Amino acid sequence: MLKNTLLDFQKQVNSNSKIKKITKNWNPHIIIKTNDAPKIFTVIVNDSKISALLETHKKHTHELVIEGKENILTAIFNGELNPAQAALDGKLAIFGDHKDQIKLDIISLVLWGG
Amino acid sequence: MDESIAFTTFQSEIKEKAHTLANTYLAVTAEEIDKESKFPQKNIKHIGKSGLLSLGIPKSKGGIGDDVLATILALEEFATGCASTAMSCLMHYSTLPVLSTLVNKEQEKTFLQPIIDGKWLGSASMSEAGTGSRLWHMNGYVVNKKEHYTIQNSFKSFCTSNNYNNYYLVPVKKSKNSKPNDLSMFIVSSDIKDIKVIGKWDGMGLRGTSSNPVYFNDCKVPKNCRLGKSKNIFPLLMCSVLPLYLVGLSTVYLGIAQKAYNAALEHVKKRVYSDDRKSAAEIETVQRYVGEMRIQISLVRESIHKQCKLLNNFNEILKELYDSDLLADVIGNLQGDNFFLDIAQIKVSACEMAINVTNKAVQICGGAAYVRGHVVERCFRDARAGSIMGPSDDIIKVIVGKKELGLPFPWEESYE
Repeated sequence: MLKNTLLDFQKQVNSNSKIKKITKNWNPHIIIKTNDAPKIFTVIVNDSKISALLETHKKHTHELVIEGKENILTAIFNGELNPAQAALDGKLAIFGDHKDQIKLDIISLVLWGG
Repeated sequence: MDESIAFTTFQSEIKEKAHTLANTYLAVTAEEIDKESKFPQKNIKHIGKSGLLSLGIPKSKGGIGDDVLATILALEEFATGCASTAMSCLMHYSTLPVLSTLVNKEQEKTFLQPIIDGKWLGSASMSEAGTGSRLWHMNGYVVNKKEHYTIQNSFKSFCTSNNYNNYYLVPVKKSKNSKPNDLSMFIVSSDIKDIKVIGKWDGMGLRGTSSNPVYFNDCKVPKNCRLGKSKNIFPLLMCSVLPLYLVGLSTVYLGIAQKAYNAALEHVKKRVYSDDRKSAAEIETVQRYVGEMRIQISLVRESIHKQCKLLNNFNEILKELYDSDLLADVIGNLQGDNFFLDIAQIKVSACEMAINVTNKAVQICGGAAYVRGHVVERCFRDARAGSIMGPSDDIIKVIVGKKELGLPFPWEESYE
């Protein structure tokens, strides 16, 4: 469920010209961890696109870690749930630089609106 | 996402600085300012000298910083000193997000530097007489002439700091036939002779704010006074200026309520009855009123602070979108989002709370607070304005109600 959502997310991001502008010079690894199932993904952002989606934790010096239940993570990456609201409601834990978290909010805003 | 309830050292320093100013200057002159309906010019000068007039201008542009919570903490301190001073500062601060974002390098030197130096006070000049609280609908428009712009038919009601400000921030329609929200933004020097300030301010409360109507008609504005691209003006007004104005307004009324509460507490502790030698504070009804006031004030303060932290995050988003030239595309239709409605709801809560708390303060102080000149009497009058200041509590309630009922927002209806 989550893997397919992330693959769709990758397609949406890579085909969106606005996202390209926003992710210019932003090259983190986004680590997505489920806490109700042993699943972990690494979304590699590179050169204004998601260059790879791996089903493992590929370590990097610039990481943004997102942790939550699989259904919550799925809802976030298919645009049904706002990540900032999910974090406020305690449904999602985000670890990493504040600016990276803001960038994630912006991507969500650009793709799916408020 | 910063969810911490603790202040940063910067926020704490600003609060402390504002507290000192409020106690040293603002509180001392508040009675005189109210009595004589006198603009608090000296207070504004002291605030300017302290650097706090540049609260809202980012450090990267030479200001003291654009942390919303720091601005709000300063405003509450100002309001507990002198409500008129705080309101004038709020209307100045409300100009700064747009100015800081939209100025080009040349405009930065001309318009931002005097504010950073503490020498300029501005006024956000938003609501028009024809459309009242409906800030999304402007009647005034601009004509682009060869040598200058001419602002026409813009009747701004209740503009603050008239005759004492250095500039107005004026949004008007891009042209006579543009949509009401297709706007151009101008920084207009208050020296321009075509600006007509109408009458003398003689309000029930906030008597030092010099809040007259202002008429901009046949008003020639130099070419360098136009700010930014039109497509960004409405999103910035609704998503940057309005939220700051709303939390700021809520804070000014929070400060007024806090001042009335402090004065009422002092009064009931000191008021001792000659028959049983007991103070009014020992009366259970008074204790209950005090408890109610404290609870109402605390709840509003906590809500304001929480929203300020969210606003700080949101402003970072706005900045990134603006820098990527995506602001209008992405933010254009967000003003009906729950986030903005939550901020608008705080304005209603704060203004109703201020009326309620100052009313209770009069009640427990008795006849003493009914006499002209008592602190609580002044706060009671000052507090009354909030509910009717645009966007009025009634308009906000209608908007929230429409959202809950799934009906179109007023600004969507008004374009048709």
